[in-house]
Amino acid sequence: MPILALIRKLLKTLNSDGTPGQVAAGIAIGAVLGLTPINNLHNLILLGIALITRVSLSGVFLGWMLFIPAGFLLDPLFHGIGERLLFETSALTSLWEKWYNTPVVALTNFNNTVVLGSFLVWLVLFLPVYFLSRVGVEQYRTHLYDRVANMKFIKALKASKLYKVYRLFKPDMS
Amino acid sequence: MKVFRLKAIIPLSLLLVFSGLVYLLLLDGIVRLGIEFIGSQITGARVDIEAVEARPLSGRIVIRGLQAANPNELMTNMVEIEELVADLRLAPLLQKKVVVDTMVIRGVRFGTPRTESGALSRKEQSTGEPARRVAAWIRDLPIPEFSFEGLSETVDISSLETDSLATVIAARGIIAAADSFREGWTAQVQALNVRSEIDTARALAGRLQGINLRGLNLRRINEIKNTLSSANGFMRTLQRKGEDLGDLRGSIETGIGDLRQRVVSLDDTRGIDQDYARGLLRIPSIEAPDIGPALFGEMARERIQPALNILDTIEKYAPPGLDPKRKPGPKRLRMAGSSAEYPRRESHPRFLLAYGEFTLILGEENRPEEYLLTINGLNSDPEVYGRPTGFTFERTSGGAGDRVINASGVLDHTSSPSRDSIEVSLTGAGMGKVALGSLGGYLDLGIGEAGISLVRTGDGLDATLRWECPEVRWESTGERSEIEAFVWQTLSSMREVSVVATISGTSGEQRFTVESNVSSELSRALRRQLGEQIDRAEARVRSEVDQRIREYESQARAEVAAVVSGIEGRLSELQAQYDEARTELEARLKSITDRLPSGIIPPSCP
Repeated sequence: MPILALIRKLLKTLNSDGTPGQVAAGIAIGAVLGLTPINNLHNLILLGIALITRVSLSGVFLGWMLFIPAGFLLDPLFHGIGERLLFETSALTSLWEKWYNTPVVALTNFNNTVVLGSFLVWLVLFLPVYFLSRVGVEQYRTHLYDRVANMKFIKALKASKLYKVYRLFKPDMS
Repeated sequence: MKVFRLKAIIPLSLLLVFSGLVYLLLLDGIVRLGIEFIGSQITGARVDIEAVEARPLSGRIVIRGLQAANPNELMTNMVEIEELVADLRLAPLLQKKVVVDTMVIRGVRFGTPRTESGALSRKEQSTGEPARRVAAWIRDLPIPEFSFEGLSETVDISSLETDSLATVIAARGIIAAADSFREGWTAQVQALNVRSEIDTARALAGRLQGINLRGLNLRRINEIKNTLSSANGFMRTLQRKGEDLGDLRGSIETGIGDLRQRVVSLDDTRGIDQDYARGLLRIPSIEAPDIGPALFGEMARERIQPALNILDTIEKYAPPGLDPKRKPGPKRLRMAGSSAEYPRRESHPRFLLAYGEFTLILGEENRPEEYLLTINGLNSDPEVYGRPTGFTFERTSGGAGDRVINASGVLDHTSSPSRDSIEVSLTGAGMGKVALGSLGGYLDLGIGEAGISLVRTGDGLDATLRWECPEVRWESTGERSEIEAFVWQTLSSMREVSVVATISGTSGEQRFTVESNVSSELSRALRRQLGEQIDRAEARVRSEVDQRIREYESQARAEVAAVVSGIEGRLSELQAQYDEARTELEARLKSITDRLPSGIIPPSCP
């Protein structure tokens, strides 16, 4: 199965980065997948960036999962922001018109209120999410990691087959 | 620290290529589902496709076995297409725009049977919206009923409620308005208080009359000066009051004019009530302009509806204008939001079919007729494209049938209001049957010629439909009353039928006329046979209605006359008293000032 071998090799390579900064960058990038509607070009591009740079893919996955509920809850806010920018700010109309008629950029769906609003909110939140995540990961590793690792439940989990599957996605701590 | 995972780039690229290949393998299915979904949204019924072949490198799409169900007859296809080949330009796809250079369609059939129902499992709110809008427009065309039942009934309008008659309602309104007007002007006259000014003027005139100019001393001179000053000041007050009285008179005259106008309009309202009562009796109109729409109105309505459906659908998807357009966002688990579209003159329309050539097969299976439909510049943003859409539809040499349909049209949505014009002619074809209402029968128009000429500018329509049928047949299906038998006898002797229907106007103000040799002939015959009877019945109805409304009408007229006379009398009396008091005061003042030395007269006096 050459395809499976290819994926296995890819994941092994990807999981080799796990410093707090890399995990935090992964969470900040993953946040875009949760905050904005998934089926859009910018998500594909950012996922590609996450794959070829040395950010933590576990972090990306974690960020994605964490921000999905926020995305659903904040949709009315995103819509409101997009509405204001797309329909009520005449100074920006020429910019949107140019984007809408530019090859490839037209595929971004930034002419949709929710996509534009959520993407802009993600841009604003990117650095705060990165720094907060970085502090959080450092604190976790300093104060909680050993205690969590010694918990019976975690030990039992580590012995299970499920954990072996999970390891495929776990960042290398070395 | 290294930023990139260099080792990951090659496997990632390979994975990307692999994903691309998988996407290409699924592309046919994706295109098929997309067309089926969009097509069903436009037509309001299922659109099914047998196979799609998409060639992304050349931009060619081949669709085979397309069936679009008829939303009004779900077990029938509105259209069935054997094969469609479209050549797309690839670059505009990067702007999410579909530009089709050429499209060739072969084997188009209409009205073929379906094996499965064409009903949609879930309809969107906007699905089939143009068809519903046109149906509403057409439904509002005024088509009278063609029935002679009313003639056999005795004239009895006991079901007519007096209180519901427009004249009675209007008369009551006039009485109430007159009462309220009387109260209003009485209050205004009281508030103006002219009477007290008149009394003051008379008192002042009396004081001036009592002034003795003999034996003047300084004290007397000062008293006279003060009296003259106050009389002079009061003259100005009196003048203002006179102006106020004039204004009040003007507004009251306007009010009186309104009341009188309402009384005059009772004559029109009486006419409405008489028509209404006549309608209750269902006395048929025997005038040709009324018989025409009653006989052929439904037929004209049915024939014009498909053309309007097509135009409305095109109008919906190709509106004029370059303004940003708001559309609902794509359906997804998350909120859809709204999507903006920004048409730009230098760019492509969202959809463009530069040239399309469609071979269509119409008619019965054993006598097929081949037609060629060509379309130029069908697009979604006409102002961006800058040219109108044109089409021609003509019979080619193929096929065995005798029928010939030719059509051409120009749909100009490049500026607002949009202007569509269509010409259709049909020869050698069955013209269908016309149901003859209560007469119990059908008119089979047989083989003939027909044509539609239609111009639509914005919401306004100007359409003419005509039929020329040299050999018609009258099919009897039921029993008839004596009158209906007479009508049937008149009609069934006719062999040639020509009909010209015109539909014009805007939504809510449609006008509809039908001229036909049938209606003219029938009108003449009915006038001979029934004219006297109908005139008698109508006179009875008029008399009955007049009797019901007479009392209310008289009350209203009397009330208005009383109010007007009261107001006019009171105002004239006030005006006369005012004029008299003012003239007297002026005369007294003049008499005193004329006799006084000029040094004594206060400077404010004239």
